[in-house]
This record gives sequence, C-alpha cells and structure tokens, in this order.
Amino acid sequence: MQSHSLKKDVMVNHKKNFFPDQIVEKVQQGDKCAFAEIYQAHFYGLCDFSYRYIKSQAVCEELVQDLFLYIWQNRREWNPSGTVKSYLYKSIKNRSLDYLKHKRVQNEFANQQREEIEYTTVTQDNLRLHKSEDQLIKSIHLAIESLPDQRKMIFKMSREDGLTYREIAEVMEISVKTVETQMGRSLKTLREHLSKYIPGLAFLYSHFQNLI
Amino acid sequence: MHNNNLDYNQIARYLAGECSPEEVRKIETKMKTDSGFSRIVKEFEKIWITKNLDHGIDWDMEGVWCNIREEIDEESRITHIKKLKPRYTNDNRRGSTGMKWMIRFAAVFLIAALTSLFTILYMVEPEQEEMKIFSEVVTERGQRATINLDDGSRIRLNSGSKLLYPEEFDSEQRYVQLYGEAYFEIAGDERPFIVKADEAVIEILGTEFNVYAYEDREDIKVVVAEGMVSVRSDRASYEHSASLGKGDMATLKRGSEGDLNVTQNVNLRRHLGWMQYRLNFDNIPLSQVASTLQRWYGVDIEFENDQLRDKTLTADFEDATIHEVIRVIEIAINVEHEMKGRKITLK
Repeated sequence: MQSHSLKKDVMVNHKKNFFPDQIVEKVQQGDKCAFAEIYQAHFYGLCDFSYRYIKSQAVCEELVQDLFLYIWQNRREWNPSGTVKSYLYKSIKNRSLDYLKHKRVQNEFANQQREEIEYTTVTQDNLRLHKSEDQLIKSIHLAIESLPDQRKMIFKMSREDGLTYREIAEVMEISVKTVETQMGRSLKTLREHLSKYIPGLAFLYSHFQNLI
Repeated sequence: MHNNNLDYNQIARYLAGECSPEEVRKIETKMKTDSGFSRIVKEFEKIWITKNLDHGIDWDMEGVWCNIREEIDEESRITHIKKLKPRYTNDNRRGSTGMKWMIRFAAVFLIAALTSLFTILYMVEPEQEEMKIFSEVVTERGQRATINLDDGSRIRLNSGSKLLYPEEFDSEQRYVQLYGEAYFEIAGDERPFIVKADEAVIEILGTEFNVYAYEDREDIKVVVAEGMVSVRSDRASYEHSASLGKGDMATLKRGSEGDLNVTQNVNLRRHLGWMQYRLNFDNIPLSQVASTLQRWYGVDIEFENDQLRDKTLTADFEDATIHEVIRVIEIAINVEHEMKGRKITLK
C-alpha cells in the first residue's frame, strides 16, 4: 500500500519551504509533512549507522521505525538539545546498543566503545569485496575496517554520515577534542596500513620523506 | 615512523570540512608550494571519497515510512474515537424520552453511530502558510453528534452538518469551522474561541450559543443563549463586529457586504429547540420545510406540483416521527403524500 507516499508528504513540505530551525517546531505542532522531511533526510544514514552495530537489515529498519514513532508520539516535548542530526544518531546508537544488550549478544563491541583498546576486527564478512573492485578501493576499505572500533565509528560518522565534529562528540558523548585526535590518528593509521598495501602510496611516502 | 612533520589532525579537519577559511587557505597554499604535501592530501582525498563499501543493503525507505504513517494515522483515529465516545452516553441520559426516541429512530441512530466519519484532513491556512491537522465530524442526514473538545467545550452538531477542529488547539486561540448548524457550549478559557461559519466569524470567550449556517439557506444566524459573543462577516474588519448578549440574534445575509442585522429577545426555545427534538416552523415556505425535514429525518421529499413549494407552514413538533409531521402538513396545507421507502412525494 503506497497511499502514504513519502515523496508526496515531503513534496507538500517543500511547498511550504521551511527554514531548517523551524522544522522541529513544526513537528511539535503535529505537522506530518515536516516529520516526513526529517525522515527522508536521515533514513539511509541512520540505517547504515545502526548496521554498524547490528548486522541485520530487518532489525536496523525496525529500530529506525521505532525511533521515528517515538519522536512522533512524544513530539510535543520533543526538543533536541543539539542538531536534529546528532539527536537522531545518538538515539539510534543507544537503541542499537540496548538492542544488543537485550538480545544478550552483547560482545566486547559495546565495551570497546568506551575503552581505548587497539584491537581490530577484520573478518571475512567485513570484507565482502568483489573481484572487479579495484585494488586501491579494496585496500582502503580493509584499512578502514582494521581501525579500532571507536575510531572506525568516528571516522565513518565524519566521512560517510557527514556529521560535524560537534555532532559526533554529542552522539558519542566525548569531547570535540577527542574527536579531533581520533580522526587524526585514524588518518595516520590508514596511511600506515595503505603504505603496506599499495606500492604507489609507499613510493609517495618515501618520496615525501626525501623532500623534507 | 618518520611522520612527525605531518599534521594529521589538520588534514582530517580539512577533509571533514572542519577548518576555518583561513586554515583552508593555508593548506591550499602549502599544497601549491609543496608537491609532496599536495600528493599526500590528494591521496587522503581519494580515501575520503571512496564511500559505502561496507555493505550494499537496499534499505526500504518507502516501506518503513508506510508503517510509520499507518501507525501515526491509527493513533489519531483512536484518540478521536475516544474523544467522541461520550456523545452516545450523553444522548442516552435523556431518560425515558430518550429511550422512546431511541426506539423510534433506532435505525437512523445506529447508522449515525456506525457511519460518522472521522477523517484527518490537511488544511492549508493561506494566511499563516502553515499546515494543521484537522479532525472532521460529519453528520449525515438524520444523524446528530455531540463533540466534547479537549478544552471542556461541547458542541452539538445537528444533522447534515460538519465540524472541523484541530487535533489540538494552539496557545493563542481555539479555532473551529462549522458547516450547517450546531449549538456551542464553550468552556471559559483565556484563549478566545473562534467559529468560522461560512461567511460569519464568531468570537467568544466562554458562553453558549447556536449557529445556523446551512449552505442552502440565505441567512446565517447566530443566537446567544448565555454570555456574550462577537460576530462579524469575514469581509468586515474586527471593529465592525456586533456584540450579542443573551437572547440576541445576529442575521448575516449570505453574499451581502457584511451587514449584520441584530434582533433582540428572540424566542430561544424556538431557535434552540432542535436539541430537544423540537421542530418549529413559523410561516415557512414548504420548500424550506422540506429541506429541513430531509436533513432531520434522512428522507427525500419531492413536489409533484411546483406551486406547492411556496405554500407556507406554521407548526410546532416535539419528538415527532416523520409520519406525524407529514400528516400535519397534509391537513394544514391540504396536500396528499405518497411514501415509497425513504422517498416522499407531496401532491
């Protein structure tokens, strides 16, 4: 049943042309089209984000659905302290971790979120790569997957989800300074990894060293 | 490692778009002058833009949205039914007369209970450019409804009428729209209660009054039973509104320039009688009587002879059946009737 077409709902919202800072207010007042706009803007990002914790499409979609229903049902009191984006990501992070807890499949993953353990989880599953993909892309992917979990999460939130440092800090409940340090360390690690994988990069690296 | 000179934090900030314009300028200048630095930044840019490799999941955005919409639409329907439920008990409390009426009109009333339409409409308020969700209660012919609003106000909707009201009143005013006839008992509140009935705008703080604004009638009538009410045409400005007290009636001619005619000390019993199932006709042309009866009893009335339409009727009925009403008309105007199902032909 497609009677509640998302496109239609969002289009109605576009016609009214909100300023972004009014959108929360509109939702508080019960505007379903403004709500649809937020949903459309963040659905894919939130699913991808949740999938980093829970490797199940059905569960991730359900968590995102529950989050939006929760927001709607509590819309009158809905007043995110940061940006809408950081609110959504933080909520879906907590919901994903809760899910893992309740399912009693909570492994070290969640604990590693808080601890600074240089521990990598590169599994075959993480590396679902195709032969046709070019060597460099494969290597980059492998290198990112090899990052310690919290760093990987922060790195992906910046690179893939487009969250600002401040938003990442709000979601992960860490300081902006920590985000900055973690991002820098990720780049450094990536470079070290990639230098092993790509002769080209290794060459560049040594070339750069010579220049200094 | 020999990378002491490379500021990774800065490159990361640059890639993430966290650098200030000055910092960006500094980095880009350095890239121009330092080819090694430039290559490294470009290599990182390549890493940065290589995206979405960890999975290729086809997330079902439309499907999940459908579930959400169904759930939130369902939620609003449930609250409305809850809100509206008391109306049946209220009407039943009329005791023995109520029971009598109930039996007589059981069929009609059941249809009312079953078919009352609760829909959610999107209504764009052109002035405010904002969207509100309105609930709609429609009474078909032969039906009535009592709506208890959140603020404690009660609205009794006569047959063939429609009331639009927001899911939730806003903080400044309580605004509803009426098509047809209704009696309003407005709970006191600091927010004014505004009824838009066709061309009439009625503003109240807390009182009881009746609005008569059927589309097929020339006049819109507002009768005040208690307290004070302000009425104006939607074409007139606020200063041109008339204040009505108890027993006053404002009449607004549809399509006029907004002139209000105020009559004092009207017969409240006559104008509010519909709630006690009283029908009052005072020298009313049969064509108008017929349209009232059609609405009231859910019948169709036809005239075999058009001259009959202009004949006038003066009669009062209390809790009468359609058969009783028709019998009185037959005697008063000297006509005959034929009834087939819900269709009545006067000849």
